[in-house]
Amino acid sequence: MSDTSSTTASVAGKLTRDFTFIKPAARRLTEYEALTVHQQPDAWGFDKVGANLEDPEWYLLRPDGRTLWSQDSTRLRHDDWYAFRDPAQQWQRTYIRHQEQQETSIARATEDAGLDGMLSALSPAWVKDILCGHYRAWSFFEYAIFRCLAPAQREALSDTLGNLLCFQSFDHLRHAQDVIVYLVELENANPAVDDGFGKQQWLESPAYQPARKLAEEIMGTHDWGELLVGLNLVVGPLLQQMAVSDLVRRSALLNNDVVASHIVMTAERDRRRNLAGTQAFVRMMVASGSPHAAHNREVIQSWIDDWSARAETAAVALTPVYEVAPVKGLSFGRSYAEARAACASLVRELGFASALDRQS
Amino acid sequence: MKNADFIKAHDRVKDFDWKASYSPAAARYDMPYKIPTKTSDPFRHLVRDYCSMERDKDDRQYGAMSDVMARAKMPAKASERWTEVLKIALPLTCYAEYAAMKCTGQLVEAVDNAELRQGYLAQMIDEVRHVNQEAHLVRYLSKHSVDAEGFERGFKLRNSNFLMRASRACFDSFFAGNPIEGALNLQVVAETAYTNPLFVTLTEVAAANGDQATPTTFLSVQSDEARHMANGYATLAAIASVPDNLPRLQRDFDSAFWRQHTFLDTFISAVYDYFQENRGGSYHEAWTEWVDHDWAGGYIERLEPFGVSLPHGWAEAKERVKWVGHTAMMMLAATWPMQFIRIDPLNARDFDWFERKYPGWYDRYGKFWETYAEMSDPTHGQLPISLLGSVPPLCRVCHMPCVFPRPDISTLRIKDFGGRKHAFCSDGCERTFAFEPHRYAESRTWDEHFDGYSIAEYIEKCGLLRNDGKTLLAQPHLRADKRWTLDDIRRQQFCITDPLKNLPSQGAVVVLQ
Repeated sequence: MSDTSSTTASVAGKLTRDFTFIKPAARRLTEYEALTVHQQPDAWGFDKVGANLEDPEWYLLRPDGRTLWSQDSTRLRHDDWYAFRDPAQQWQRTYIRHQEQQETSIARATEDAGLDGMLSALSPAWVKDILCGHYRAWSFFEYAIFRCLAPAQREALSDTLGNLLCFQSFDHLRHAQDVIVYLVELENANPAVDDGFGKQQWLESPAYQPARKLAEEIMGTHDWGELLVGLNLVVGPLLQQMAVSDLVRRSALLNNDVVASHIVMTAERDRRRNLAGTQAFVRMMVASGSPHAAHNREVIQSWIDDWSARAETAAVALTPVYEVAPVKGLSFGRSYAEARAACASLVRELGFASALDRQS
Repeated sequence: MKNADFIKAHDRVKDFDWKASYSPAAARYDMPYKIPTKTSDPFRHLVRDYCSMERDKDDRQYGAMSDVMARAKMPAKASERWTEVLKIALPLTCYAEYAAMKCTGQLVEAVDNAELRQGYLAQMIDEVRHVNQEAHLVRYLSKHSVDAEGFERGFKLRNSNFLMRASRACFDSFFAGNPIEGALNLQVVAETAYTNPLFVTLTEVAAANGDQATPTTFLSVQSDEARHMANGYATLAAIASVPDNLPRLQRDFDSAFWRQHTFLDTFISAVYDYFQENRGGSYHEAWTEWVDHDWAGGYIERLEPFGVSLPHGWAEAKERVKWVGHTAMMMLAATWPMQFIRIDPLNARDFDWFERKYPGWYDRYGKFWETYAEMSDPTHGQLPISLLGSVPPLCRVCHMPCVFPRPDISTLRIKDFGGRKHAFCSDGCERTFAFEPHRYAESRTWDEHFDGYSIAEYIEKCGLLRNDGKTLLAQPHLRADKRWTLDDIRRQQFCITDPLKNLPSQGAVVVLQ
């Protein structure tokens, strides 16, 4: 629990020149902790005052009478959400610096590829069918994740979790926009670009309808804990891995598209960060000694099962896309098997069962 | 990227929406407004440009603070009178930024308009930026200022200090209601009307008083606020373009203005006018320029053709703003042992300045400040709270003392609702309560929380002692000697009582003497 005892008692006799109201996760307070922890009022812990210490306090309720934050915003239970720490220790400056570096590297790669003649040399089939037909279609999926995580950060039950969701939300808008920006620049060098083809595929092609259905369900998911688990433990390692890492990044190298490959690599770096944050979150939820561990384990297992089934459906529907690239990379079968195995392994490492272990 | 490419990319990033056909999402937030799906675009930046722009600004701000300013020990050279108020002002402002981040999350979800959503997303990250910047500034001053105690625990006192509780009540409105109610409170009123006086003009006061860290931070914050104001204007214009929205819009706008006015004008004017040592302009002058001329005259009046009028209570607010800061500061000084800052007595130069800037000030407040100075020595053993004829109750809506605009013309009123008595500081707060009483009626005021505590108990309970375990964090002067201790307070035997218990109820309007 957060330290809510008197500040003076803990520092008596010594002039305090740092925040004493935050309990560091390690020995020393980090900059991330100092600028993040307890910025969100904690009605159930840190902010309780007065004689009636057991009652959370609210100044203003929502129009329907609910409290400003609600423990019901997730099915998970924990006594101190503020104990969560982002393993990446990101605060705004470090996060924006990181994304600025990634965007600058993409801009330079695109510029160089244009000057080198690599963009004009890309095959029309790669540009039209994979970059415009597939990658651009997938930008709508990324946009859906951006949208769902913005209100998720609003509802999250601590600042450290809210900021994590906020940064991931931004990640996905970046991923979605990077596809557009690349195609705009590619259009100057390569006449095969057809930007509208992506939306058409997203709305009409059978290959994308299960993904679109999943995207619409994701946008309708109000449980922020479920979004963290479902998106980062299942959708990322299974579906994003196949749709973006395998179908775009790995194929891109075979089709001489270094820029697309590079863009996806930056998205993968974000994906690893978000996975690490989610792993830390899940471990906190099921930590031994927590009175809620058994309940949380059951809930998380149900989410993994449910999201795995839906992500699998969307993944299988992508089968025909594996036949589209002019120089074909991984087969659907191998890509699917590898992604399933990797996803199942991540889930198992956290102590959960995965239906993805069975043979496809 | 060439400009033509940028325009093309920007047009395309606004076309990410599609009509859900498999699983249309149920509305998460109550949304009593219709929003057109196409509007003007308030945010013409791509994520790439945004990251580059913000990184440059971050490097300039943090670089300056950690390099030359720290080496030159600038924070230690700032006016102590001024530095003291930052102990309370910064944590409180930080929460406003945090609440703003929550507001924009709601807007992304509820406003089905790709143009507006782009701007909200950037603002969402901006607000994380501002929270971090301001928390960094608090930590920086905690490390480098002369009397650091208080900086290190301001955030902890968010729920026990009465002024910080009032700020919670104000800034919760950014995201407690429907998303548009939040946007009106945040973008249309707080950011557009008040960030200029707060982040621009107040930094001039800071700089004039030797504080370079606050301007460096605040001006960097304000460079984002212009985009947020554009978000607010685009949101407001979109809503006003649908005639069915107008009755509800005006009602929510009226409430939003009053909620922000009751806290922000009171708070900023007290900070602005009472903590300057090297004196310049007054808050009333800044308010006239930024809030009256720019916001009301240049911004809101332009919306009148769309059916949006100046908020109800505007004329009253214009009169109140001359006095509310003085009254608030008198309350703060009267209750100094329960604060966590040192409040410097006013000197002859201050008296002249106040009378010049606010004619009639001395007759209303001068005597209090003369006596406050006399009472600052603990050997005299007197607390200025004893100078108040009666202690006003706290407003159920804004949680400020019901003593405004001035004790002699207070607009306090008491009502019964739901089996409890509720005090309101003004017609505006009473109206806001009457629209949706269930949202306010369950809250408890500071008085109700701490009713029956002796001041010494309150100080111990809230951790308002210095590191020696006996000297008060707050002091009624800036001197290193003659500091008050807990024993000095214990001798006073003054108890906190909830004045609402003893006031007549149901419709009574009590004028405090």
